[in-house]
Parts: sequence; C-alpha cells; structure tokens
Amino acid sequence: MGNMINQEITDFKVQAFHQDEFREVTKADVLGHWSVFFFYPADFTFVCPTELGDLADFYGDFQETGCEIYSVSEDTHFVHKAWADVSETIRKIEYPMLGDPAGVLARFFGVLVEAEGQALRGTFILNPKGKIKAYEVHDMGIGRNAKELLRKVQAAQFVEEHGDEVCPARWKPGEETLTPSLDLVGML
Amino acid sequence: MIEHITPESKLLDENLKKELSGIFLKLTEEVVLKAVIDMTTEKGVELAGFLTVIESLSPKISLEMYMPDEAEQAVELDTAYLPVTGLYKDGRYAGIAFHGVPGGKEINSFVLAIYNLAGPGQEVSSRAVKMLRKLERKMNIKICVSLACHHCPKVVAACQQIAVLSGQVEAEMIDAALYPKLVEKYKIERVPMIIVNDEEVYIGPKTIEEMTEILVKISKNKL
Repeated sequence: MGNMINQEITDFKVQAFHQDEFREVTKADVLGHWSVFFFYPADFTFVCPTELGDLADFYGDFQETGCEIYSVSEDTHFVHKAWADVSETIRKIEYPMLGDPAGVLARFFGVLVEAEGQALRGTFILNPKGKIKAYEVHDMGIGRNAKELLRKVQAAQFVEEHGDEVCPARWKPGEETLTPSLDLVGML
Repeated sequence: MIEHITPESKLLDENLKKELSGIFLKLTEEVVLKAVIDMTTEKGVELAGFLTVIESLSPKISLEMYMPDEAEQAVELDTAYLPVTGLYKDGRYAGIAFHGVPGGKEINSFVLAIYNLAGPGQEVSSRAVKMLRKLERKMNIKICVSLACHHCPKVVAACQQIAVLSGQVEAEMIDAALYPKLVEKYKIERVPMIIVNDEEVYIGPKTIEEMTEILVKISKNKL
C-alpha cells in the first residue's frame, strides 16, 4: 500500500445502520465536513465493542468539532442492527455504522484482508473535501484510543485553517531565556 | 533611572557581539532604546545587562532604563507587561516595543527592528507601502511569541516594519511565557499569535503584505 495522504475518497454507496434505522451513505454525504472512517474486523467480537464504545463516549466532542464518525466493517447493515439489539455498548452508538460487505471501502483504504473478508483496524481522517489528512492502521488485536483520535482531528483542522508554520507553545514558567541564534542571511 | 550596569550578558558571547557590531555599522541614524525594568526581578536584571551590551556595540544606539515608578519617562510604552523596551528616533516613539528579553530567535526581530528604523531597512513592495499610507487610525498589534519559535521573528519583523512605515501602528513583541495571565486570556497554545487592537486574533505567520491587508480591512470596518 502506498502513501494515502491527500488521496480523495472513492465514489461509494453503502447501507448504514444509524440510530435504529437503515439508510444509504454515499461519497456526497461525507463531503462538506470532517470525517473519520473507523474500520474494525467484524461485529460480535470483543475488542471492537470496547473501541466503538470508547468512540461513542467521545462522539459529542467529535460533533462539536464538526467531524462525523463512520464505523465500518465488512458485515452488512443487518448484522450491525442484530449486534445493537443484543449489546448495550453498541446500542449507545449514535454515529452511522456502515456495512461494507462488498469491500469497496476497505479495499480503497487498503485495509481489507481478502482471505478473511475482514478489515484491519484502520482509522482515516478526511477533510471536508474528502481527502485523507491522517491515518493509522493496526493489526487485528491492537486497539485504538478515541481521545487521541480527537486530538488528531483537531490538529488536522488547525493546520487546515492556520497553515503548518506555527509552533506549539509549551509554557514553563521561569524557563530560562534561550541563547540568541542570529540568522539574518539574505535579510539585510 | 537605572545606571551603571556592567555591559555583560550571558546571552551575547564574543562572536555574536562581533556579528552584531558588523550589522550595526550599517545604521545611518541614531536610535534610542528606552526600557522600563523592574530590577528586583531576574528577567529585569537579564534585560538590563543585554541592553547595556547592545548599546556598547554601536555609537548610533543609546539606552535609557527606568524603574517602574519612573515609567512616565517612557509614557508611550505599555507597562502592563514588564520588562519592556521601546525604540525611539528623533525624540519620537517609533511604535516598536519588546516585552520580555528578545533572546532566542527573537534576537533576529530585535536586530531587524533597529535596522529597519535607523538603517537602510529591508525592501518592501511599493503596493504595501501605498496601502499603509492610507491607514488613518491608530492601531495596535501584539505578537505573542515563544523564544524557541523560528516562525515568530518573521511576523514580528513584518509588523514592526509596518509600524515604521505607517506611523499609525504600534507593534509589540511579547514573550508570552512570561505573562501567564495573557496566555490564559487569549488561550495561547500556538505561536505566533497576532492580536490586533486587543480583539482580532490571527495565528501563524503573515507577510508584510498579508498583515497590511488585514490592517486595512479592520481599519475600514471600524470607520
């Protein structure tokens, strides 16, 4: 898999389970706002509800920053519903859960393990133009952290708005003055 | 008046002093540095030593330092954030101030400010100069920096050159690390942060042209 930064999401049309209903989600739906595509191997597994529940807990924060979450597995939207029916953790999820049984999304994002028909734990942050601005892919058993994901989304949004020529300020009261470093070559 | 400070500063070694003397040879006019310094603080003592060395490097640079209770001697300077150093030419405040010690990367903006005020100055596009002449009201720019930020001196220098060219603008560099209340007020997490007239906030570097456009726009909106 090559580098995916700045690649634009492919055209797609999938079915989602979203707040107790089924609905279609297409590329047009993910444009115009920030998005996170959050892949996981399969419904009815154990690490997944923990991760998805963690994400559900932070969903309000993501919405506040103008970012939608799409969880994606290679199950159908019907299986998502069945899982929600039996799992309290999944029932509290308010973001759309996409079904990708044809593997269109998982293949585009390079996370499909063909032999198993499952997706690796890939997380992709897309800007409002549908371009990938940050991503990480974990092997099956390695979980992710919603708070860190939120930080990454906010950092990506900051850079989009203000450019990357800024320095994080780490204020330490009483810090010693830095030794001057003169660099005026070509400026005088 | 603060006097008899030994011209010594751990911030300025012999090599740097030589380099600075060389640059100051280009100065064609005289510049006065006026500072208000609380000598009971560590930063105050550090700044007094630093400025005294700077003064010793050029006959074109002279220095006046005052304690906070003598601040009326430099009434133009904002003494809310001490220590402060202002640049003056021909008896007039040039609208250029530094809050804190201009060490680290800010030595560059400090030297450029002196060079732009009392030397040939950096080249500026005629478009920016024309636009700046149209500014009709007083404006204030605070540039909050961290001394380790390599993007910061460029925007400080740009804003301070605007101050020189326009005569209407005051541009103050603020080493935000020294002023926790300021950091809290503006929630400063990244620098450079540019605050115009204490209300409009911009983050990230701006060229002199970009900054001029911002000022002209604000100036028009407020008229």
